[in-house]
Amino acid sequence: MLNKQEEVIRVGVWVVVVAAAVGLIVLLLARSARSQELSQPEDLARWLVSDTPPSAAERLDEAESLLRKDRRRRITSIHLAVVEVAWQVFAQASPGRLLKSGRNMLRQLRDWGRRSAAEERALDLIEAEVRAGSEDPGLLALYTRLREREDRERVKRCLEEGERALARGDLRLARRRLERAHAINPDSERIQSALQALHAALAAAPATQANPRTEELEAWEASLGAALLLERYDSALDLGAPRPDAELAQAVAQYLSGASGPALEAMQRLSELRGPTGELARRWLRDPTRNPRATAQPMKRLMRSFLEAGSGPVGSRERGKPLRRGAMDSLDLALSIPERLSRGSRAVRSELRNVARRSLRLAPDRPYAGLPRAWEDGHLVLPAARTRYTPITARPVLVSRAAFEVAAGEYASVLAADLGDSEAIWLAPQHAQLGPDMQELPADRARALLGGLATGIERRKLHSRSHGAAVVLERIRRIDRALHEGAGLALKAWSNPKESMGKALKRSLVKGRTATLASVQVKRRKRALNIEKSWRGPAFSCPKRTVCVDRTRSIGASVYGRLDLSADARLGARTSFLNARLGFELSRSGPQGTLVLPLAAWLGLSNWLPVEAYIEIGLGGISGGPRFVRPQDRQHASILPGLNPS
Amino acid sequence: MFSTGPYGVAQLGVLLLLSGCQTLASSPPRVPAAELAPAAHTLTLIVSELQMHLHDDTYRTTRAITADGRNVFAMADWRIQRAQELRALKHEQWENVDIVLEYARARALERLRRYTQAERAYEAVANAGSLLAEPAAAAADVMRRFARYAGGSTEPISAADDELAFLNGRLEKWRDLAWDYRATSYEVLALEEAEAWEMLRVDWLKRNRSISQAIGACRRLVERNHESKLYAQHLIRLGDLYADAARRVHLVSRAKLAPFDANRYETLLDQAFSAYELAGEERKPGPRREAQLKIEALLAVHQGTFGHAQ
Repeated sequence: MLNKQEEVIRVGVWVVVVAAAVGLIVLLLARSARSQELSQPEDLARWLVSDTPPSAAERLDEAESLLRKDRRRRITSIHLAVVEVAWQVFAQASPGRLLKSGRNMLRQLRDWGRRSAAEERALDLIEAEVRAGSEDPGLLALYTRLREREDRERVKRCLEEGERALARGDLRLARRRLERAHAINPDSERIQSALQALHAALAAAPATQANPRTEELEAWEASLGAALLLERYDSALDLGAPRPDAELAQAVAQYLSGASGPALEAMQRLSELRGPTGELARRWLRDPTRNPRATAQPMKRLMRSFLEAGSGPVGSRERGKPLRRGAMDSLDLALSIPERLSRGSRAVRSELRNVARRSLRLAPDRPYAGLPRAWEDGHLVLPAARTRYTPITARPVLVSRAAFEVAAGEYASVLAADLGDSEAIWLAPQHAQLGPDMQELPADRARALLGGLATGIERRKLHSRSHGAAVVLERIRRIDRALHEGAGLALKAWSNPKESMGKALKRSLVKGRTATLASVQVKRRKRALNIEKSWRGPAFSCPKRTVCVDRTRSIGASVYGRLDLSADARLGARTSFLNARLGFELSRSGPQGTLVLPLAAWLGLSNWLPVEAYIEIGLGGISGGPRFVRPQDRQHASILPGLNPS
Repeated sequence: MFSTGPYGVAQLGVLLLLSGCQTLASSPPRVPAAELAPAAHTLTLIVSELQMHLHDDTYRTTRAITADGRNVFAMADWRIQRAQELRALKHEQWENVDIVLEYARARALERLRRYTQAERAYEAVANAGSLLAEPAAAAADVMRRFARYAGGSTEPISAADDELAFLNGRLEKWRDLAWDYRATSYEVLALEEAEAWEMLRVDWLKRNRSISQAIGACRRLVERNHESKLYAQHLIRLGDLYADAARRVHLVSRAKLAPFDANRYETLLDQAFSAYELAGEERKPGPRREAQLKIEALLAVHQGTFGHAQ
């Protein structure tokens, strides 16, 4: 057993080592290729002054470059997935985690051959040239290959949709999809056999509308029809013959004369019939505006499904069969109850889905949609839209005091004096957006301030925790643009709204959000309560749906406490510099020091080998080793209290 | 098999519960006369279905449209016509069955808003002389009045103002007819006609006047027809008009005819989204899905505009 484990670990280590080597090689090659591209400024200059549309060869180059980049991206993804699995094996992670990583890896491998958006773009690039009659063999070869892949994908999709439609009896859709697939690829045997199955199904399907049996019209039908059309319902009840359609007509007469109870009962009886009579009766019974019991029926149906599923033989999927007498042994019965309940609840869930779908389709018309929200004194007043879209007009930005000091430079102290002791400052191009108590900045200073902000973000001295750098830069550019068009820059002081301790604790403990109490941040994460006090005061907390700019601190330090539901308490201090983290922690198992060094990130290898070095010193001695960090977790890990997120 | 004492009582209880469940779960016996049911639509079934739906408020509800999109009245008309073709009797040879068939057809045509044809069918029944002749003659009078205002003008209209005046005239006429026939089954038909002319008026204003006039007309359309089954569609139309107006702001700026008015663009965009969102609150899946798709499409269009709007 031990040998097997060692073997597995050895394989894991080898995979990681090989992955690192592959990563290095690819990285070196990629870098050299890029440097080669950039080392030809004369080409760049030529392209810049060129005003002719790209030639066939240039388009081919660009298409190939797109495909190359896409391939490289896929290789990186697969590589990362393989490294992650190997790492989980090496670290002897839980089976669940290993399974998740394995599934991710298999998904990446499965998607290797799939068409991508890059292929679409490449096809778009070269298709115009091919249609214009280009005879470049390379271009034609690439076009043929991409076009074949596109056709294959299209045929596959049509075929799958057609087969699915055929399986559920939607012959119209099946015909459309299969004929489309056949038009694209007439030689496929699978499509031909599916088409044969479709034709067989079409031949077997009954005619949708049979001819009325006019030749069998009887005299009473004319009298009954006339009585109904003239709304002489009493006479209609006396006419007719002992035939289901006449019974339905009489039920209609009863219903329209106001005796809906007996009419619905008669329809209920007739709904059990096959053919158009039963179909009509069923349709009216399902209509909740005609049959008030239609809304109550789902409950009955749910109960019935539950009982049918629960009373069937245990261990089989058969429903509705009575329990055998032999199965009535008390122990068997007791043991089967959980399974019966579970089966019943599954049936109920499935039935509920059907009910929801049906009731949506048959819901009574509601002509007053949206009226309460949109109506004022009989007039339509459209409320503000809830759809979130990227605004085009310049919108305010909230800049923390520290970031403001970086951006404003020498004017910071002058401006800061006017803005009081606030945590942050709103910047907006229009005064109306900020309301009263704002001050306007002269145009030259305003533009200098915006320039300082942009430079700070580009040089990573400033950052936004809620949005990417590109979004923030775009927001600042739009404000700058508004200044060019004559707007002034308005500034307004802002501080986190003060809230009572009770509310803050409720927000933190119940909703799991960060609350700040006397410069200490409190946050509940799953089963643990984290309390943190940062050096240089609390971190700037950005309101929801706001673009905020804060200062990037290369050195961070804080003291923290962590209380677990399992009564495990920790107290510690940590500091970080360039993503390296050093911490000291006191817990029930004694004092512990930790150092994390993101070596792969420092070497620029984090995309290929996302691993950081981890050293721990405690009462048990020194331990250490590498630790796997997913690229998407990197940002997250750095803001967690404590050094070890686990 | 069962032991005595509390354990046995519990066993018995569970058994009783399950046997009770089984009794409840059993389905009612099938009607043995199932084979008697006709395999096709008979005259009785056609008339029953038609009569059941003749009282439907087609202006406010979609009950006359089945779940798979078939119009009950169109189906009835088609079935009756086939029955008449099979009987192939001339008007002089008509029997009671033929008179009932024609009267039923006239009623279906009336609900399909094919007034001229309905008028002719009613007249044929009135001339055939039977129990149905009197109501058919009265209905023919109403249909004659309706037919006068249905459809386009008999004289060609060349000037745009005349066309607008014609549209307004028709709209007013149908509103008057809705008032004249209030609380009768003809009121909903007149309301549907008035709604159709008002929708056409919105479209005309959009094509021949300005979008802002079309928006104003569409808002009035929504306000006047807030009980209509097409309320969500009107809101979607309103959203489309706002979206078109926003798009026009962008196009004008792209052609450098005027600087991009971001405030106006965003106000219009916001109104478009708002109208689509209101339409998306409709319970019926069709308009809800359409509204959602419109929102998605407008978001995509806006994303393109965002890149171009400097």
